[in-house]
Amino acid sequence: MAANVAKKTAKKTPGQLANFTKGFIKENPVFVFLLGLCPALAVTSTLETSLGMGLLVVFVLVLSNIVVSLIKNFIPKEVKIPSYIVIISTFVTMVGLLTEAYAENLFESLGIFIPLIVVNCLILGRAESFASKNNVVSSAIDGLGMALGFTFALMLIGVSREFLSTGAIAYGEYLPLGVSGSIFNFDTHLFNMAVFGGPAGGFIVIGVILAILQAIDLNKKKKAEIARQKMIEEKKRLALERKRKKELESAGGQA
Amino acid sequence: MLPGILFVCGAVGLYMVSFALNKKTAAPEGLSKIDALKCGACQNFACTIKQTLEEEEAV
Amino acid sequence: MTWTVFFTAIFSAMLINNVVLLRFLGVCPFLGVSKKTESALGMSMAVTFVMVVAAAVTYPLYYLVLKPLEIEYVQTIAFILIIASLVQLVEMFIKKFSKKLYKSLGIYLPLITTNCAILGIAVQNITDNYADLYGIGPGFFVAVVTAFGAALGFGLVMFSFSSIRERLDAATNLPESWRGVPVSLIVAGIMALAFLGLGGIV
Repeated sequence: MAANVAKKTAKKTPGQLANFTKGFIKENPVFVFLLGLCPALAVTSTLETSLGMGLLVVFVLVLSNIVVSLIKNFIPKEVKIPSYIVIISTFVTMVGLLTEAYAENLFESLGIFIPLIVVNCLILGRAESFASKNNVVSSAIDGLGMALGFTFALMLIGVSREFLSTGAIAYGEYLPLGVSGSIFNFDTHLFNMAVFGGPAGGFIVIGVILAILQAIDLNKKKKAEIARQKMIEEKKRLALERKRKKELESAGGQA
Repeated sequence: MLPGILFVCGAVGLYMVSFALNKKTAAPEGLSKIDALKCGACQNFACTIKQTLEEEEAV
Repeated sequence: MTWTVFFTAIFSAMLINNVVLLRFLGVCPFLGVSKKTESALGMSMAVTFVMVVAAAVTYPLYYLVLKPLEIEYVQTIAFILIIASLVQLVEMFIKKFSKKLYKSLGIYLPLITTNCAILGIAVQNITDNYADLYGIGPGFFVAVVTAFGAALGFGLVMFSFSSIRERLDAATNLPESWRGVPVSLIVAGIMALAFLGLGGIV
C-alpha cells in the first residue's frame, strides 16, 4: 500500500499546499506508515508531553530536511546515510540541550526519547526519500507538513489517553506556559481508568484509532465499488438499448 | 570544541571504513539475493536491502 | 557486589522493564518482523548479538573517551555512528565466516542500525549511572548483563507475539476493520498488561 501511495504522488507532482497537507491524513506517518511508533506509544500519556515531543520533531525534521536538500549535490552516494545521521543527530543534540535549558520538566519526562529522535524512521525516511531529491523550499514544506502530521497524531493519542486515565486535560505542567491548571474536569469514577496512562493503554488506544481509520477506509472502498458496479450496469443497459434499437431499425428496413 | 569535532570526524571515518569493508566482502555463494518477501512488512528506510531492491525495480 | 546484582539486573531488564512492552523500545521490528515465528527468532538473535556488543563498546567509550575529554554532548552522534559501524562489521564477519548464520540473520542485520532498542539500551546504561553505583569497572559488567537481559526480553516477546499472530492471521471470524495491525496492537496491549503483573518480583 505504501509503495502505491508513493508512486501516485510521484506521478502527480502536487502543488505546495498539497505537499503541506498530505502529512495530516493521507500520508500520516503514524497512522498510515506506522513510523515513529516508539515515541507515539511512550510519550503520549499526557497531551502536553505529546505536544512537546511533536514540537521537537518539527524542529529537527524541518532543519534536517533543509540542510539535506542544500547539500544533496555534494555528498557521494556511499556516505549518504552516515552524513544524514550526523546532520540529524547534530540537530537532535541541539534540541536536547535547548529543552534542558528552557523546559526542564519536559526534558525529564521525555528522558531517553530525546536522543532516540535520531533513530526515528520518519526523519531519516524523509531525508532519504524526499529531501535528497527535491529543492529547499519544497523540502522544508514537506518536513513541516509531515512533522505537524506526526504532532497531530501524537496529540490525538495523548488527548484520548490523558482524558481516559485522569478525566481531565492538564496544561502548564511540562511546557513552560506560565500558567497551569486543567480543563474538562470530570471527577467521576468513569474517567479514572489508570490503565490508559500506562503502557498497555498506549497499545490499545493506537489499536482502536487504527481500527476506526481502517473501517472508514473500507467503507469508502465499498462505496466506490458499488458506484463502479452501478456505472457498469448503466453502460451495459445503454449498450443493450442501442443494440435493440439498431435491430428494430434493420428489421423495419427489411420490412 | 576541537576534540568533539575531531571525535565525530573519526567516528564518521570509522563508519565509512566499515561500510567499505562490508561492501567489499562478497556474500556466501547462493545467498547474494535475499528473499524480498521476507522483509516486505518492514517500513525501515535505512535498510540497504530495501534500497537495492527498489533500485533493481527501477531498472 | 555479589551475583545477586547480576540476577536482579537480568530479570529486571528482561521481565519487569521489558524493552518492547513496557518501555516501547523497538516497536517497529516488533510489529514489522513478527509475521512468522521463524523470522521473529532470527531478528531476536541478531538483536541479542548486536545489543550486547553495542553495550560493551559504548559504555567504555563514554567513560574512557568522552568523559575525560569533556565532550559528553557528542554522546548521541558518537553512539549512533558506533552502532552503525558495528552493524556493518558484524555483517561483514558473518558473511565471511559463517554461511549458516548469514542465511538466518543476514536480512535482519541492516535493520538493526535504526532499531531504537539498541541505542536506547546504550543510552540507558549511561543515564542509569552504573558507574557511580558500582564503580566504573564492575558497572561495565552490569551494563553488559542488562543489555543481555533486555535482549532476552525482546526475544521472549517477539517469539510469543509472532506465535499469537500466526494464529490471528488464520482467524476468519474477525471483523474486517480490525484485521492486521489494529488487532495486533490490542494483543500487544493485553500482553503488556500481563507483563505489568510481574512488577512485584524483585
